[in-house]
Amino acid sequence: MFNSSFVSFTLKLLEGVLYSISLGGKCLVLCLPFSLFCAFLFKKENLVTKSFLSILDVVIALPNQLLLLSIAGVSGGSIGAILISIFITQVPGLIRHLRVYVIQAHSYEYVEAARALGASRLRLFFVHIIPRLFLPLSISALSLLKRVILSESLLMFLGLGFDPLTPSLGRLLSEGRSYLFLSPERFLLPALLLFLLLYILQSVCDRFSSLFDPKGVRYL
Amino acid sequence: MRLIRGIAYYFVSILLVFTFIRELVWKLPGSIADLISDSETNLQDLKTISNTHLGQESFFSELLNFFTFNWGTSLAYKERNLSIIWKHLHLTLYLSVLSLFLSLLLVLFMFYQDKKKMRQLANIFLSLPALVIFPLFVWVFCEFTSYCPAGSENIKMMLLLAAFAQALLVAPRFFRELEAEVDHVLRQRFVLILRAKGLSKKRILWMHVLTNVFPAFLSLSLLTWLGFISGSILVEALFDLPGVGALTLEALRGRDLPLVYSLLLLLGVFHLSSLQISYLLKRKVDV
Repeated sequence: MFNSSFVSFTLKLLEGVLYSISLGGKCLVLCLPFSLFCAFLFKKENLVTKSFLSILDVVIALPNQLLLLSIAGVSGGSIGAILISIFITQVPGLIRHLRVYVIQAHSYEYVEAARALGASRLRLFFVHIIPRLFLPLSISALSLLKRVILSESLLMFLGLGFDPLTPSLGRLLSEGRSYLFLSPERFLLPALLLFLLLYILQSVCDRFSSLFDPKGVRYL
Repeated sequence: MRLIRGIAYYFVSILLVFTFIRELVWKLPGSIADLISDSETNLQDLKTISNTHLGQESFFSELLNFFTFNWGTSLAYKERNLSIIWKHLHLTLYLSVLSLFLSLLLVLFMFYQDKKKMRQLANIFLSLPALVIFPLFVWVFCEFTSYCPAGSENIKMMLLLAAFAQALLVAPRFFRELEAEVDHVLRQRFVLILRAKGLSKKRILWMHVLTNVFPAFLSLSLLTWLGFISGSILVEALFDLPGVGALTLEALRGRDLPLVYSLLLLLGVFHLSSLQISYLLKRKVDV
């Protein structure tokens, strides 16, 4: 069982996991600061914010998977195209989500006190609001990472991804599917790794959510 | 009136967004007038033009073209595209309704089981990607047991199998969200007051709690159904079903951009109109 092809397959698997995580990291670096900045910029209720949010609403309401596959597939499937497609499909929801927390954080008394004391907008943002947003930001980042890994695997699985030599979990699953009868481990191992990766992210996300949202008494 | 206004509002917004996306990413042919005047242009010519006319017109002229009802190549070939989409749409709608029905049955089943165990099971199923479940389903039922051999004419069995696989993936999420909603209602003060008045648990649950949960249930069901339609690409590709999802994948692989654009536009408008209707229904039901 542990021959050279199996070892090379295991190495490919590890490389695939690392690749998925690194792509997720790139997307996080691209999407999270931009969403936070937009959420901070469009926190006031005025005409510009309303029009911006209505456009975001339209993108959120569009069929997500279809949009992702169409943009990535039509634009050639390069890594830039995949990043852009994930950016277009994920960022509107993220901005909407973070905007609620930014507005909430702005209404806290200590923020108002800091503003009354003459703190600048930047100081308010970096010193008072960002620390307050740590937990929702972590939850958003983890769920975004999960969605990015899934999206990338889906694109690769359907053959709409980039370079065929890229060792992605989606591509390994797609290749292993053809050998399910002869050597099931070629499909089951990437599947297990993808499942474990997503399960860990989901569990951490759930734990963070329960920390953030303590529940009251249940009456029935 | 509100419905018409809502749909019109979304329709204008969607046109704007699509123009942006088309201009930024897709780079479809700029000179739409050339295409429309030339009725003899066949699909091959169309693809050649798509590759040669990259970004020759500005964003504003594209926008103008939109509002003067020349919706680019997708509408230049609207009859062809619409007939193809219409042919495939039946199956996708049938599959999505069947999947929704099966997932509702599964959710009902989960509600009657031990909640703690079901919550753990839901957590596991939430992390199971469709990429893993669907190929395994196909392998077990179509290849390993030959219960429903691939490539056979038995499309009904394939549909049922696909619907069950989709329901199995979606039901835990549905259950989790619905359970959270029920939990949220159960923690409200009025439940305590009703209990203090001496109402039985069953009466509180069926008459008061479920009435409060119903709007959320309605919107969740509709969102799930829309999710089935938009997520039909993978399931139809793997279960070999000739629906809209398979058509999209085929169009993407064949670089048939007008068809992709038509599909996205039609499904997008369908999606948005359904959401608007669900919003209005929710307002009606939510008292």
